[in-house]
Amino acid sequence: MSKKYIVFSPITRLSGLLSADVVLDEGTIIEAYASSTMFRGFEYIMRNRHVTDAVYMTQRVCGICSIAHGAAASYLLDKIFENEIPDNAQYLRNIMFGSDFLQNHIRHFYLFSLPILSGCRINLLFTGRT
Amino acid sequence: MKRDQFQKLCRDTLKGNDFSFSQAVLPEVKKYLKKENKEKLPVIWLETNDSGDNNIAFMNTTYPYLDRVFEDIIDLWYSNTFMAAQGINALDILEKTAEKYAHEYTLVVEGAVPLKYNGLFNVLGYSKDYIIAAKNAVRWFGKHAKYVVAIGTCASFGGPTAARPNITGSVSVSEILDRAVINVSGCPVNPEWFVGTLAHLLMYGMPELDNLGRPALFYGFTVHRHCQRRSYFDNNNFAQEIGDSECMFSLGCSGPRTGADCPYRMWINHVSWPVKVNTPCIGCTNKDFPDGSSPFFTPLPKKSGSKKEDSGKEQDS
Ligand code: SF4
Repeated sequence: MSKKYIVFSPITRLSGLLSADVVLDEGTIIEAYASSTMFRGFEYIMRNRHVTDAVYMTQRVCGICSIAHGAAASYLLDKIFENEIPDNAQYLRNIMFGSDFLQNHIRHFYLFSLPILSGCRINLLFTGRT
Repeated sequence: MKRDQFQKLCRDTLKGNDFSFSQAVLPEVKKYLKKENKEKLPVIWLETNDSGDNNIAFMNTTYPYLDRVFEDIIDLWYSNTFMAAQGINALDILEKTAEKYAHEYTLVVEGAVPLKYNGLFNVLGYSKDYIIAAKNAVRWFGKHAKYVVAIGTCASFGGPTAARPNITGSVSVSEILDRAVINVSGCPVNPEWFVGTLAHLLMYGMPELDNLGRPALFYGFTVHRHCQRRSYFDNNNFAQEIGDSECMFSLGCSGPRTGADCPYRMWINHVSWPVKVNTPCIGCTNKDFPDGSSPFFTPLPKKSGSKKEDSGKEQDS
């Protein structure tokens, strides 16, 4: 039967760039490819840097979930230096991480998902104005 | 409001934490648009190689809040992050906007532009027949824009994206455009610097730029100059470890060579800034960030990548 190849690009309302290629067979998706069409090579950028820079540098991986990367880097440092961190420091980290999680979800829901859920007629936006 | 009144408000060191600058922006813009019978600023926003942190920081704008900026200051026609349209509809809007507002729209570029492999490290969108590489898009839309604003340090100077070894061959926006680019640097940018710049463009046109192409309104003084710990510095009282209340020059603070108004503008609704929360400034608005500031916890004279002429700001006393 006839197969249909659909390119959906760009997918908007997210942090970064995303596109999807889908193969349809009689209305059923049989293959799907998602491509994030940007590459910076952060794994390479992180090499040959002072290890304590990791906390700040890794936060530049992603704007919306920066604390997650920063927190992972600071746990790594604790391991390397065999740090015993005080309870309060741990609470503080958890609060920061929790707040980041919250802002992430709130942003995602209200700014990125809601336009679709509200059924707004997106393709008329421009023609309506001109 | 007269141009110089507005600029004074932007620069005023005392006005940072009482919101008077940001609260003034919206009413002024509204008054201006009504009086001059003008339209809002048409904006095309392209996201290239960065972490998306600048649009996140922009969402944190308060007085005017994000919805007010969209309603009353700018007409954001294309933005990968904010627009409702997707796929081919989105690209359609991009094309029509560029046609309708040719030489009128403001191009905002967020992120550095990779040049290697024909720019394929950053593709804004594609179909079976074409690929829109950021490199070509920024060049084309940059040519037909009235103003080009580079938001964030990646777009302004290359930033973390172009940090060594820079395997994507990323460069700043100004490097691939043969025209004036307003560099609103910062990693991420402070929303007030950006919204203030947009308001200035709308009402008074091009703002005065410093030697790195940044609006002098916001980057004119070093962080060090107005830092709350400055008296410790002047008296040679330096922090021994993170968490001490003295000057953090000893812990790698880049404040003395970084132009920004963080100490009084502060961040996230004017709540705090790095030195206030016990972490040294890492010089994120600088031309050579991050390599010039690293290792971040090594004192300035001993930093490996620091070159004085790259910082754009002479060490002030
Ligand atoms: S070196 Fe840093 S902490 Fe010390 S006074 Fe200057 S900006 Fe403030």
